[in-house]
Amino acid sequence: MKTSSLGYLIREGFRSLWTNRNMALASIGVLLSCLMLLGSAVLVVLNINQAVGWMESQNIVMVYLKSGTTQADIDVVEEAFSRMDNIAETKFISKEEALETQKKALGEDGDLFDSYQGENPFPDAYQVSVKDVERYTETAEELRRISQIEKVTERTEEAQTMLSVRNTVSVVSFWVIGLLILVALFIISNTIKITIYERRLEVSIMKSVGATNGFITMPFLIEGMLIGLIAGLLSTGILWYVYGLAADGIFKMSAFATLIPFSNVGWLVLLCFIGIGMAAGALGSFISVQRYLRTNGGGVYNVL
Amino acid sequence: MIEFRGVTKTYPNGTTALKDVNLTIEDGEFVFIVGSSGAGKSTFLKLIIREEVANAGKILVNGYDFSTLKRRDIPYMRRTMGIVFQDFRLIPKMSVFDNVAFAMRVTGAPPRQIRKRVSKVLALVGLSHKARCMPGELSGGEQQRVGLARAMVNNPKMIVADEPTGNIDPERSFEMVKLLSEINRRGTTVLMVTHEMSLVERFDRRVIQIDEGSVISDTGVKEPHEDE
Repeated sequence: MKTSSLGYLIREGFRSLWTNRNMALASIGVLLSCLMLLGSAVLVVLNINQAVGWMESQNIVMVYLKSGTTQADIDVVEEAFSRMDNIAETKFISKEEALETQKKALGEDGDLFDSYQGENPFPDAYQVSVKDVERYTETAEELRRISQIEKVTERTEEAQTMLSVRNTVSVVSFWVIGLLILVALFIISNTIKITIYERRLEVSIMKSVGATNGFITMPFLIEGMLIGLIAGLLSTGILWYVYGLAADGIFKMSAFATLIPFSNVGWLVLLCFIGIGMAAGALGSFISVQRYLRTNGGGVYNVL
Repeated sequence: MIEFRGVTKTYPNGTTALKDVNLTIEDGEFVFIVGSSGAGKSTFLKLIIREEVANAGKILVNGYDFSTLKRRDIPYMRRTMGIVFQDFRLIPKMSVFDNVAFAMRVTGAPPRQIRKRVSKVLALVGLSHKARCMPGELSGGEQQRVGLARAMVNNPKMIVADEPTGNIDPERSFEMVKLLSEINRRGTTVLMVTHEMSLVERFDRRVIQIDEGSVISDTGVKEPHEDE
């Protein structure tokens, strides 16, 4: 391919994209939704992975005592703690403290708890940190065997829930995205097909003067890739905006839960979106042109 | 050069368009291919440009043996010929200049060479002053001259004109054939398919007549007269 032809081919690609803008918009729309869904799924999975990783690095077990514990019960529990070798430290959280913390967290709505009228719904609790994270589950089991203890909250339960959410998201989005990519390819190849039919006179003249199939394919390929490029750019922009909103929302709900900042993954998302978009555009277009050139439409005479 | 040896073409619907055709057209000849419609003229043309493939026989065109011609070499074979169509086939939204330049661009020629060559062929067909016009602003005869310029722009060995005068008035038709003669005089092989016998008779050239898929007469090679 000579460079002088390249400029010509690119101009042709842009021109036909513009002439054919309605179908091009439809293609961009489908490709865009496909990329948005893909991006959202990947971001959800990445965030869950991060959260699970963070949880797994924590060495805290929350231990809740049975209600109506006496000082004697507390002594028994602390005595049991001291016998366990994997406990680094324990922090007692009395039910009064728990109530206070919760009231503060609720702010103005904290008055709600006044209706309990001295009846504190919270149990006494310990925040237990383990020495060796490897033996975390084993230690949690040991704690569970202490009879004064009502409940042991392990991180693994939460982690398991998040992991199952992640797997569901992965599987569902895999199939939906696969389907959407097929739809996008179908619509792109139809868009290009319309372009080819509009330009079949030009194509037949190209054939008659000896243009190679590669040369004939090129402007259509460029048109398809432009569709992909536009869809890639737009979807990155939209995803950036929507993700920002979601991150703000989640930050408001709980100051501890933060999402991975978009800027950390933004370039990767942009590159992937443009790459996938352009590849889909080129493939859809290629399929369409090859089909056209293989049939009589690709001839000199049997055309119009 | 065109060589047909025992060429037969039968279409999938069972119609035999050409039966055992033998003929040779040497480089530099001017040949009229005549015959009524349905005689096999179109099939003959389609075989020459390799739009259709013969069922039997041997075809050689400008040094390409079609029995061994690979699909990817067809474009290069076609660059050795220029085709003039009955319906002109100009692209309506392109100027005269661009219509001619288009044929050169798609073979990857550099822009400067395109400008030079297009101006030259437009001058040859006498349309330099109409270079900026759109095809719709031209008469039929002028449009066909643009078609001829386009066929010639890649400097082919051979011009294949398919009923080039079918859509233009008789006076312009005569001029068109004179123009083809002039091109032939400069060394290009010209093959003109037509059914207008009256036009053919005005030029004393080789005439190959096809009827019902066979060559029924061939006047043989004739040297052009000075008075043409």
